Amino acid sequence: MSRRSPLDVWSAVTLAGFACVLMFLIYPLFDVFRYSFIDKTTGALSLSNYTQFFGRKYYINAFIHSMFIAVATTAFSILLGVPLAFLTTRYRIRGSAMLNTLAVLALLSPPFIGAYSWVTMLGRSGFLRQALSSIGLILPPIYGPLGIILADTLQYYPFVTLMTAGALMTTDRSLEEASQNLGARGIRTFLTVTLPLVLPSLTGGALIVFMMSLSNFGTPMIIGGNYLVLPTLAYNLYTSEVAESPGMASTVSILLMVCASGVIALQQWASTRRKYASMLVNRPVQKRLGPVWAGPAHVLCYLIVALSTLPLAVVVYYSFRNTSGPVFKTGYGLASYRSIFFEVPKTVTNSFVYALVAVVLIASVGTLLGFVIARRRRLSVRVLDPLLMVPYMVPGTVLGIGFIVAFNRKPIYLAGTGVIIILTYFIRRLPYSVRSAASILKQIDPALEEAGINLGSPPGRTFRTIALPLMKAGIISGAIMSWVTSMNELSASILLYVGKTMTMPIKIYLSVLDGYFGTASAMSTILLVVTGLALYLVNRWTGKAGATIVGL
Amino acid sequence: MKRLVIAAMCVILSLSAYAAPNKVVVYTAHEEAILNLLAPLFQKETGITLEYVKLASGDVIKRAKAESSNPQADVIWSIGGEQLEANSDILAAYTPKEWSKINPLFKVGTNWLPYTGIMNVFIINTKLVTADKAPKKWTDLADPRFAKMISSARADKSGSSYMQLCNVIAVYKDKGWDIYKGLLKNFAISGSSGAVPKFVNDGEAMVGITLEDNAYRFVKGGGPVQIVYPEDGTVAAPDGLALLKGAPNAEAGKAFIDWCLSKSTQEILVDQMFRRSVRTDCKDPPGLPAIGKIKTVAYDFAWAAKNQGDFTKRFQDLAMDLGL
Repeated sequence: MSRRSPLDVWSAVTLAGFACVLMFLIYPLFDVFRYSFIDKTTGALSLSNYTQFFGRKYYINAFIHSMFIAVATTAFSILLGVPLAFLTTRYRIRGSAMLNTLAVLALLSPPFIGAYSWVTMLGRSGFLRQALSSIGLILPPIYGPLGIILADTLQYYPFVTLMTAGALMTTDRSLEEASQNLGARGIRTFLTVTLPLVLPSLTGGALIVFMMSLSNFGTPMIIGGNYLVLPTLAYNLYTSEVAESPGMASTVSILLMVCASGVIALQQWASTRRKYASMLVNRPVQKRLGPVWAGPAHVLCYLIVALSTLPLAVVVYYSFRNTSGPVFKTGYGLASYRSIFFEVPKTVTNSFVYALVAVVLIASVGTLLGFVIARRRRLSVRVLDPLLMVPYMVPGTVLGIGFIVAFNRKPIYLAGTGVIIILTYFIRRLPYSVRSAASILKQIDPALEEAGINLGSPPGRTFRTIALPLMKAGIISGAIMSWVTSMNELSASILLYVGKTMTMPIKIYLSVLDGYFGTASAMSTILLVVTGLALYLVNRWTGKAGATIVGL
Repeated sequence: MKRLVIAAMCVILSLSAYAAPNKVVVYTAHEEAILNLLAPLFQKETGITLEYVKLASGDVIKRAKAESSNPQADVIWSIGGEQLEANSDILAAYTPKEWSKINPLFKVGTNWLPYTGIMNVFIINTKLVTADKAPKKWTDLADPRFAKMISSARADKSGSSYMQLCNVIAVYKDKGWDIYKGLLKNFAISGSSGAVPKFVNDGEAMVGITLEDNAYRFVKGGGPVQIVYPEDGTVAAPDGLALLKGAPNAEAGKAFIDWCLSKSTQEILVDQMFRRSVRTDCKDPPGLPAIGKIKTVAYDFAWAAKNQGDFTKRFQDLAMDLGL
C-alpha cells in the first residue's frame, strides 16, 4: 500500500513498536520461558515438562477447565453484550446513559471483590440463596465452574457492549436503509447487514473477554472451589515454596499463550475475511420503539445491567455495615472506612498517577501502532501485529516475575519504583488501545486518507488532520478501557509493589485475602467512586465523542 | 501528543527520583488488621516511616530471594520460622537490645529471631456442627461427614498450612502421611490461611484449620464460631523476624526489630491481636487458655526446614491425585 520511501514516519513507528515489545516483553519473559524447555532434574534442554503436562490428568483437566470457562464466558458475554449495545444505540431506551454508566462500573470492580460478593449472595449460606430457597428455589452450588462463569460474564460483558456500541454508531445508515427498502425486515437486516458490519469490533470485544477470563485468576481463586484452571495452577506452581525452577509454571504459561494465539488468529481471520468500510457520513439515528417492543426491550436492558450491578451494590452496602474485627454486626457506620484511613491518601494517589501516566503512554503509542496495523500490511507489520497481542496472553503473575528479575539487575534497576508498575500497566493494556484504534480504522474507508496524500499532504500530517479526528471515538474508548483495567490491575503489581507504591486493588486484595470483607468493601467503594467521578469528568471534558462511547 | 509524552516522562522521572530519607522496608505475611494497627503506631513512636509489603509467606521468601543481588527490603516480619530457617543464607544475624528478656524456649533460629508464639487450632461453625459432632483430634477431620467442608490453605503455599502438615506428621510419625491424606480428601482449598476463619464464620465451611489468633478474632467479634485445640497435640512455635543481608536501611531495620520485641509492642500483640508473647515478662492473651493447659507437641525447626522440599513435593503429589 505504501507508495513512499521506506523510511517514512510509519516505519519509525513500526520500529518503535518492535523496540517496546523487545524491551518490555521479550527481554523480561525470556528467562521465564527458557525454563519450560529445561529438564528439572538434569538441567538439560528437553521437552520433559511438556510430556509431563500431557501425561498427567491433573494438568490436562486444568487445561480443559480453562478452555471451557473462557468459551462459555465469551458466549454469554456476547449474548448479553450485543443486545444491550444494539438496543441502547439504535433505539430510544429510557435512562440508557445511566445503563451504560452502570455497565462500565461493572468493569471497575476488581475481580476479587466481585467474586466475593457472589459468595455472600449465593454461597452456601448466602442471603440470596436462602431467600430463594425459602420460596422453594434451590440453586446449584456457586463453587465451581458455574460460579466462575457467572461472575466472569457479568463482569466482562461490557467489553462486548462497549466495542459493539462504538462500531454500531459508526456504520453507514444507508446500507441498512437499502436493505430495508429491498424488503428485509428488522431481524434479517440485523443479521445480514448490521452484524457483518460490526463483526470486527464485536469479535474484538469478545476476544478481550476471552483473554480476560482465560487469564483471570482472582475469580477462580475465590469461587472456583477445587476447580483448577490454568492461571490458578500457574500461580500455585510459581508461588509454591519449593518448586524453585519454574519449569512447570512456564510450561503452563506457554500453553496458555498458545491457546490464546490460536483464538486471536481465529478472530483476525473472522474480522478480515470480508472488508467493509464506510465514509462516516450517514451516521445512524436512534429510533423510537413500537408499543409492543418497548416494554420487553426496556426489561431486557435493565435486567442485564441490574445483574451486573448487583455485586457492586453488595460491596457498597457491606462497606457501611458495622463490624467487630472481621465479623459483621447489625447496624451501620463508618468503622471500615476509619480502619483504612492511614492508607487511603497514598493508595488513591498512587493508583491515579500510575494509571494516568500509563494511559497517556498507552493511548499515544497504541493509536500510532493501531494505525500502522490497520493501514500498512507489509511484512514487518504482519510480524508486529501478533507480537502486540502477546501481553494479552501472558498471565500477569508471569509478567510480574519476569519484571522482578529483568529490571533488578544490570543495566536497569527499577524494582521498588512506581515506574516498574507503570510499565506493567503499559505493556499489559497496550493491546486494548492498539485493537480499538485498528478496528475503528478498519471500518473507515482508506480513500479518505489517500485523498489527503494525493493532495500532497505528508503521511504525518495526513494522520493528524484526517485519520486522527476520525479515530477520536475509538481512541477515547480504548483509552478508557485501558485506564479502567489499569486502575484494577492486580496480578502483576501484587508481585512488584513495595509499601510506598501500594495501589487500591492491592489493598483490597490484601483485605479480602485475610477475610476482612468490610475494609475491602470500603476500599472498593472508594475506588468505584473516584473512578466513576473521573470517568464523568473526562466525558464532560472531551464532549460528545467520549460521551457517546461510554454513555455518561 | 508529543508534549503529553514528554509530560509523562517527567512524571516518571520525578517518581523514580523520590526517596524517603528515614524509612524501613518490610516484607510481611502479617494479617491486615495487625498491619492497620501497628504500622501507624511504629511511625508515631519512632518517627521512622514504615513501608510494608504484605504477601503470603512463601511469596515473601520467593521475592526476597529473587531480589537478593540488590535487596529492596530491610526486614522480614512475621513469617513461618521454618521458611526463615531454610533460607538463613539471605538473612543477617542481629542480636536485639532486649534479647535477655526473650524466652529461651523460642531461641531456635539461625540468623532469625522469634517474634510471637503461634499455634494450630480448629475453628468450627457452631450452627453447622453441634458440640457432639465437633472434631476433637486431627484424625477426626478425615471423617466423611466433613467432606469438602474443611477450609485450609495449601501446604506448598502457606507457611501456617505447612506447619499443620508437619503437626500431623510430628504427632503420628510414620502414619502421619496416611492420616494427612485422609484430611486432604475433605479439604476445600482457600486462597490464604487468613481467609479460613472467614469461610467458617460465614457458614461456607464447617471446620477450618488456622492459627489461634486468626480464629480468636472471629470468636471475639461475636461470630458463630468456636476454637478447638486438637487433643492429640498442637504445635506451638514462634513465627520469625529477620534482618535481610545487604538491607539498604539496616539501622532503621534494627530499630524496627527492637520495637517489635519491646514490651509495649508485645503487650499490644497480646491484648489486641491475641498473639502469645515470646517475652518472659508478658501475660497470656485475655480469654485464651494458658499454654500449659493445652496439649502441645515438640516442633523441631531444623527438621521442618530440612524436609520442606521433600514434604512439599509429597503434598503436591497427593493434591494432584485428588485434583486439588
